[in-house]
Amino acid sequence: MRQLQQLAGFLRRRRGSVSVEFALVSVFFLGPLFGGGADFVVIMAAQAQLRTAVQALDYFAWTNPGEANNLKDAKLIIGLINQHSDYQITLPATLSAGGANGALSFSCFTPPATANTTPTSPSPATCPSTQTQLTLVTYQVTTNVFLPAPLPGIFPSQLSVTSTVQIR
Amino acid sequence: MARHSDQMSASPRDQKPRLSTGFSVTARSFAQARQAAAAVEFAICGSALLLFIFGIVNLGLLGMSVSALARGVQSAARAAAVDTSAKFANAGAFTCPTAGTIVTDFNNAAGPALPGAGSADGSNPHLTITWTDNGTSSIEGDPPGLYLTLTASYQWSPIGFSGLFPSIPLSITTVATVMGSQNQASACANSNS
Repeated sequence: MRQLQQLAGFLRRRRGSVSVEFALVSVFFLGPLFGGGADFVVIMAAQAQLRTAVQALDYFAWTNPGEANNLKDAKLIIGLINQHSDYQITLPATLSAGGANGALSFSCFTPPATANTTPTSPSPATCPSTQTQLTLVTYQVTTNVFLPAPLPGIFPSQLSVTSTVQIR
Repeated sequence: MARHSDQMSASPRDQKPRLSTGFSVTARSFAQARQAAAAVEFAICGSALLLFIFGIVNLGLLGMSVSALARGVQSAARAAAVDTSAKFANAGAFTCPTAGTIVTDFNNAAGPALPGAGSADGSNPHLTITWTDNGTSSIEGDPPGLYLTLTASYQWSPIGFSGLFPSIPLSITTVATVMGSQNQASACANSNS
């Protein structure tokens, strides 16, 4: 009975309420906010590196269109980047959307192309003589990031960037 | 200060208990007083709020630095590769830009978001320039040509927290492919000094 009275007295008292409120706000609001901010920065830096890496692959494909679908050659570019990068970037064998990484795709369109041109996607060398064939290559690079405050289901620990560029 | 404490103790309310347990009574009355409670609460919460605002500002600045670093690296590497490719197309030999040219391209692309970069040790941001010349290699996985690997490293420090937090190392690396291949040993000098 006395313990209940003490508890009731404790609950009625208002001294130190600011400190209690501040502690609650810190734990449930400021803490996760700063943790999320730190995760955001790590992910942003990793995404910047991934975008730069996939852009390097795009330039390689433009410069060596005959080797664009040779993943062993593309790995040279990624290997050179990994020698100096904080993130270990990998070229998965298959794209997350399906298909091989570095695979070529083809499209036909009737020139001149406009913003409303919708290319068809045939196999190579089947475009009619009145149409022009596009050759495109798709690359995907991935990396794993260590998040300082991992929030399950919100921030992924594996990031990937995909690009498709025309090489011919 | 002595005069001030004399004035404080001149109050009859404070003088009497000071003879025995003066400090504890004064502390108790201070704790019980509710005057300027809002100011004290604001001081507690305001400092935390200020910390929070500075943290958010620094997150934005950090993002800007990362973005500028990536932009500078991509632009400088691309400019160096295109320049070398154009000279190879004209002269049939590689003539690479100097480290100073690459640094200038980086600074122009990064803009005022970053301090002036350099390729010398100790500069911040620091550019590491590495040329890989595979000549006319026909080895699979080791394609022919000249490749520039450009890394920009930057020790980023938050403003308003000097000395409280260590600097955060940022780094972006890219590889630019030069058009053309020729067996030209040591076509371009690596430079990080």
